[in-house]
Amino acid sequence: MTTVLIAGLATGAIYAFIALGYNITHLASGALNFAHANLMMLAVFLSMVGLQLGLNAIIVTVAVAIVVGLLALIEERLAIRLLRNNAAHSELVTTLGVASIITGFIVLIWGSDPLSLPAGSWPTGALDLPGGRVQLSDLLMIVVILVIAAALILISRKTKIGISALARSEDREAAQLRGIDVLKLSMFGFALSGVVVGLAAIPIGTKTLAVSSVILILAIKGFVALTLGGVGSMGGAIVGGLFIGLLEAVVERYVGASFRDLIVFAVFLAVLFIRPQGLFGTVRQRVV
Amino acid sequence: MAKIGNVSSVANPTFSERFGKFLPIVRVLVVVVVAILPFVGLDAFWTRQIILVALMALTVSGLSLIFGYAGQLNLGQPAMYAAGAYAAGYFSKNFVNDLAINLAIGIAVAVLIGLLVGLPGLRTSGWSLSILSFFLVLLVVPVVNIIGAPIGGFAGLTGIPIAAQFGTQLDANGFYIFVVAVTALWFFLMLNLIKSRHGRALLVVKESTVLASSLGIAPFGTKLKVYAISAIPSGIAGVFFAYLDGYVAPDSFGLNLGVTVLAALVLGGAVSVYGPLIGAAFIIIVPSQLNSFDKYNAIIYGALLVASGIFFNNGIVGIWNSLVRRVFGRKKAATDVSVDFSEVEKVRPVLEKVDGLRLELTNVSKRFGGNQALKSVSAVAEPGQITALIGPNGSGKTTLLNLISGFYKPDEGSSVLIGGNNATGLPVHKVSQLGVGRTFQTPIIPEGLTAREVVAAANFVRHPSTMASSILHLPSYRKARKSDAEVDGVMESMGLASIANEPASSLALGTRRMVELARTVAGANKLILLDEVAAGLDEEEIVELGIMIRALRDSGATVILVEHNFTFVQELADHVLVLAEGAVVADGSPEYVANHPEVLRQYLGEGAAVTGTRTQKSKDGDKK
Repeated sequence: MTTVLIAGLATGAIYAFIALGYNITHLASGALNFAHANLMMLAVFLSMVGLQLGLNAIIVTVAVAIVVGLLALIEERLAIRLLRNNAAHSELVTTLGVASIITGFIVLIWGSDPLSLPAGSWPTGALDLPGGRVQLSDLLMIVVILVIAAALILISRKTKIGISALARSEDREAAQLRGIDVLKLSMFGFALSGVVVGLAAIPIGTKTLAVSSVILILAIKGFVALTLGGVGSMGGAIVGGLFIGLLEAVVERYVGASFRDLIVFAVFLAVLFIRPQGLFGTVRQRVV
Repeated sequence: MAKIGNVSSVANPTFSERFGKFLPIVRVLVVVVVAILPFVGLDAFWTRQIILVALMALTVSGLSLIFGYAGQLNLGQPAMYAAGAYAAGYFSKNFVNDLAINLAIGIAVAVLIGLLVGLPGLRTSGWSLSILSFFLVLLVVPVVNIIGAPIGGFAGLTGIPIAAQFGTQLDANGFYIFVVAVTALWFFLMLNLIKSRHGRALLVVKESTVLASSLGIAPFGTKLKVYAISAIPSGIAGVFFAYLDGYVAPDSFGLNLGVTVLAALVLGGAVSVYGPLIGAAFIIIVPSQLNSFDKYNAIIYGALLVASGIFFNNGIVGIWNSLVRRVFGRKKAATDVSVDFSEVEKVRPVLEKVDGLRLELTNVSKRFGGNQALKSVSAVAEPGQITALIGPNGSGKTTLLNLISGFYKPDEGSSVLIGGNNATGLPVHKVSQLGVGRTFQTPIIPEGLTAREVVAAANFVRHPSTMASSILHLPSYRKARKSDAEVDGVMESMGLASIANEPASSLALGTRRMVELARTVAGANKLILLDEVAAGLDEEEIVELGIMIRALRDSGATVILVEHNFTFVQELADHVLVLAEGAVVADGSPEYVANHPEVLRQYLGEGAAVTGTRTQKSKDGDKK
C-alpha cells in the first residue's frame, strides 16, 4: 500500500507542479499557458544534454532555469503581448501554437523514444518503509516540488510583486491605476514559470524520463489539478495534483490501467458540475 | 474625428453590393463543377484528395461555428470525428449498410459525445471547455480499447463494407458525388445559420455575455445549441472516413488532428463559411505535395497558430476582405466615425405603440459583503412616464438598475414586479424576454458587427425564430427577416442611416451611445432602463437623445433614466426618484424634488457631490 501511495503522490506532485506553473502565468498575466508542460519537458531534455556533457548538476540546473526562463519570456512576447484581438481567449490558440512548436522541435532533435538522464545525476535506490518498498528518487522529487511550492506561496502572499499579481488578477484596470506595471508583471510571471520548471527538471526527468509523448498527459492532468484546487490558488493546485495522483494510483492498482484516465475525467466532470470554482476558488459577482 | 454627416458615405458600391446577387449561382456552379470532375478525367489520387479536403472542411466548419462565431475553443473535434467513424463502421458492418441511415447514426453519436463535455464545459466561461475537449480526445484510445473486440480495440476496426444507398453499392464515383453533395448541403445550411439573426446572436454572445443576456439571448443555451450543431459536421466527416478506406484505427484521432483542424481554421479564417473550405484545402493538399512535410508539421502548424494571433485576424478570408475593401470604395476602416447631429432633422418619430410594463419595487435591498448598497427601496415607475433616478456617485443607482435587469440577485425580502410578473431574482435573459431593454454606462458594442447589425440584435426576442427555421428558411424566419427591415426605419429616424454599414466598434463614443439607444428603440421594449445615456454626448446629440426618449415615452413604454445632468432630468422627467446611500430620500415631481430640503442638502445644494448637476433652479435657490 505504501508503495502505491508514494508512487501516486510522486505522479501527483508533478501534476501539482504543472498546475502551479499555470497559476503563476494566470495570476501575472491572465493567460492560460497551454505550453507550460512543453516548457517543462524541454527543460528535462536540456538537463539531459547538460548532464551528458558531464556538467555538474547544480550548474546544469541553474543554466537550464535561465534558458527556459528566457524561452518563456519569448513566448510571452510572441503569444501574449503581440495579440491583436484579446477577446475570445486568443491566447489559448497562440500558446497552443507555441506548445506544438516546442513538441515539434523536441521530436525533430531527440526523436520520440524515451531517453534516460545519465545515471548518478539524482539519488536513486529503494527504501523499505512499513507497508512496502518506495523509490528514494520519488520521495526526494516530492520534497523538491513541495519546497518550490512553499516558496511560490510565500512569493504570492508576502512579496510586493506577488500581491501586485493578485491585484491584477482581481481587476486589471484598478491595478494599473494603482501604479502596477501590468506588462512587466506579465513578463515576470512567464519568466518565473520558466525558471521554476528549470529548477525541478532533473528530479522530474528522473521520474518521467525525457520523452515527448507524456507532455499532453501532464498538461491535461495539470489542468485538472488546477480546476480541482481552484484557479488562482497555489495551495489548491498542490492539493488537487496530489489527489489526482493518488486517485490514479489506486485506480490503476485496483481497477485497471485503462480506466485510469476515464476516472480522472469523470472526477473532472463532477467538479465542473458540482463546484466549478474548485475547492479553494472563489465565485465573483458579475458586474456591468 | 471623421465627420460623415447625414449624407451617404458610400459613393462606390461595395463588392458585395456589386457582385452579391451572383453569389448563389456561383456557389451552385462551383459545387456542380467539383461534382463532375471525376467524369472529365480527374484521376483517383486527386479524387481522393478532394474527398479528404471535404472531410477536413466539414470538421473545420464545426470548429468555425463554435470557436469563430461563439468564441468557445473546442479542441474535441477529433473525438466527435472518431465517434461518427466508429458508429458508422460498427453499424454498417453488423446491422445495416445504408449511407444515409449511418450518417444519421454517426451524427447522433457525435452530438451525444459532444454534449458530454459541452454541458459542463460551457457552464463556466473561459477555458474549461478547451481543457475538457482536449481531455476527451485523449480518451479515444483507452475507450476504444475498453470496448475492445466489437470495434476492434487497438488493432482497429476492419471489414467495413463498401458504402451502399437503398441497397445499391456505390462505386468510387458514386461515393465521391455523395460526399461532395452532403458537404455542399452542410455548407449551405451553415451559411443560412450564420447569416440569420442567430449568427449575429452568436457574435454577440462571443463578445459579451452581458449584452447577449440583456437582449434576451440565453448565453448558456445558445452556446450549447451551437456546440451540438458544431458536432454534426464532424460526425458526418467521421462516417465518410469509415467508408472511405473500410478501416478505422484509434490513432487516427489524436490531438495532432485537433491542432491540424485548428491550424486549418485560423489559416482559412475562423469567422467565415469559406474559411474552413480554404483552410482545409491548404492543409490537405500542400503537405501531400511536399515530401518531408510530416517531419515539420507540428512546428509549421504551431507557427501558424502563433502567427494567426499576431498578424491576421481572420485568415485568408480576412486578407481577401481587406483587399476587396481597398479596391472597392472604402479606403480603410476609419476610427471614431461619428454622425453630425446638427444636420439631423429634429422631428419626434412616432414609434409603434407598446403596452408599457409597470415597475413596482418593494423593500428592495442588496448587500455586497459589508457594503449595504441598497436599503429597502420601494418605488413605482408607471407606463408612459419617464422616471428619473438621480443621486450622488455610489448612491446605488446603477446597482438598482442591474438588480432590475437581473444582473444582481436582490437580498431576501425584496420584491421586483415587472408588469405584474414577479421578476425577483430572475436571470437576465428572462427579464429581457418580458420586454425589458437597457443601455449601459459604457456602451457595449460587439466587434465585428456593423452598426445596423448591432441595432438589429434587438430583434432577437421580439420576433423569435428558432435556429432550425433559420437554417431551413421556414416561414417564421421569413417573418423575422422582414422585421429586420424595420431596423432601417429606426436608424433613419435617429439620423443613423449614414453609418448603418460602418463597423460599430469604430464609432465615436457619442454615436455609439446613440446606436445603443437605437437598439433599445428597435427592440420595441416595454420597460426601458437607460444608464447615464447623456454622458459624453455633445449638445446636439443631447437634443436628439431627448427627442428619442420622449418618443419612447409616447409609445407607452415605461422609461427609467439614470442621470447626473439635472437640467436634462428636469426637462424630461415626469417623476424623479432620489437615492442617497442606497435609500430613497425623495420621490415626486421634478419641481418637488428640486425644492426638497433633504435633496438640496444631500445632493443639489452645495454642488458638492457631483459635477454637472447644478440647475437653473438650484442656482437660484443657492442664495448666493
